[in-house]
Amino acid sequence: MVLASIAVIGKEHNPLYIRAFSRSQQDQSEESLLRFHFIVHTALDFVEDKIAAQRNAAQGSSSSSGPKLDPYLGLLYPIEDLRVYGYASTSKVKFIAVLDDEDVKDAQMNAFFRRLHGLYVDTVCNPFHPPNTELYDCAKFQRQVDRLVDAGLY
Amino acid sequence: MAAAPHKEVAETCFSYLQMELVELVIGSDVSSVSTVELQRASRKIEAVGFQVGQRLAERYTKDTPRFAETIDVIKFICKDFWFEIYRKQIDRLQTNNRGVFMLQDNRNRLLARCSPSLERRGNAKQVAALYARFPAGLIRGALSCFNVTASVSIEVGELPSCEFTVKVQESK
Amino acid sequence: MLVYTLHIFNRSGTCMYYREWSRPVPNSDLKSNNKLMFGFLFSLKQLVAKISPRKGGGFYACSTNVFKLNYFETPSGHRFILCTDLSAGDMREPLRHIYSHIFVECLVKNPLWRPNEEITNANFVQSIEKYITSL
Repeated sequence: MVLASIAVIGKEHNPLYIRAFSRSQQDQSEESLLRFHFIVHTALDFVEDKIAAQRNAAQGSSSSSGPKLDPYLGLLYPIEDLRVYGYASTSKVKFIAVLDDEDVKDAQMNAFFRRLHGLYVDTVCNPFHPPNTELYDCAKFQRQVDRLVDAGLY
Repeated sequence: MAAAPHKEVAETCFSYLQMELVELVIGSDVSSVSTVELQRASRKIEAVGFQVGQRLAERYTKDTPRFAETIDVIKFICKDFWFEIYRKQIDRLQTNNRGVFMLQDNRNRLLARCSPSLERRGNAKQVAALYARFPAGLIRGALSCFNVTASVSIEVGELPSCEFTVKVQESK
Repeated sequence: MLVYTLHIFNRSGTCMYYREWSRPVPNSDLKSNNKLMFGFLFSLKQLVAKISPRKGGGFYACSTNVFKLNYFETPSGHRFILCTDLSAGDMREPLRHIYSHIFVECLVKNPLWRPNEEITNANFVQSIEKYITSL
């Protein structure tokens, strides 16, 4: 299972960080990055749908809304030979991961997203980082994401 | 994946830092400050609280599920958020169900120690209100982290209690 | 045990706080008496440091045949002097309590207190009153 791309989208659906990972050199072109931009933007619609569905389910049931509004959204949609997974945090920041078409356990993806969320929170808590701005300038975030992707899923 | 060790800071450090923040913004003598300068200082202190509140809210909700309604956000601020920062919860929450919430803290830790000397009893409440500006900024920052735009005003009643009035602006 | 008076001096010798509970002989001139007290303590401290047979230690009490003067100095230079009758035991702990639980809590942690100024804060005065009457 290979991670093709991850993205962090801000509250106003503004992309804060989109990064493509690949083993082969040819995939590292501008074109492939644009392709991932497109995939991630399409994924946002699915994210909104899932969030609305969760909220309706929570309102429909009589119990409290705690565990039903889980940040992990699961598989959003498949496209070509890739699968797109989503995670929406409490502060409306969304994390999207694009994987190649292999089965992956929800628990694994959940753990991965939680780690990524943790890295994002650490970066945002830096007082020199202006809120709601892109994360490309933060070298530490880039390094930690690299490490997470290398060590994480395979 | 070992969890990072739990870090702690002495509460007095945080209190002294807050006290110095107000001193820094006001300038030298607190008692001889004009109303305009007091307002300017209030805004600055509140802005600092805003930035800190945003980041703290981001950190404290890392592992919690999403909030369905604005009232859930307010409840989170009253309970978990205030507890993490001040080791106590907001004592009373009232709402008029039309976007206005009143949070009352009966024993705000910093205001509990505010005791004016005899000469300065006059504007003690005004000065004490400055110390309540930082928590007001924290509330506003935390709310904005969850995309809730609001204005927070404070009212210092009998020290050490103070009231935060949150007016949520409906944005759809 | 009877407590007569309490003085609090700061590092430069200003008497920041003075309170008397019972004083059969009234105070003639408060300001000059305070200066006298500070000067006496200052010289006594130097004397003790010079003639002490063993290294270390400072003085914490001295008595006459009618009253006992208990002394406590903090590293920051604040001096607490409690005058009691002779039946008072070792007053080091109460003086330490006055410093750490009353002085620090009511004044140092009080955003509205200015150091080196006369102490008139209601909170402090009440706490001192409560503590001393409980002794």
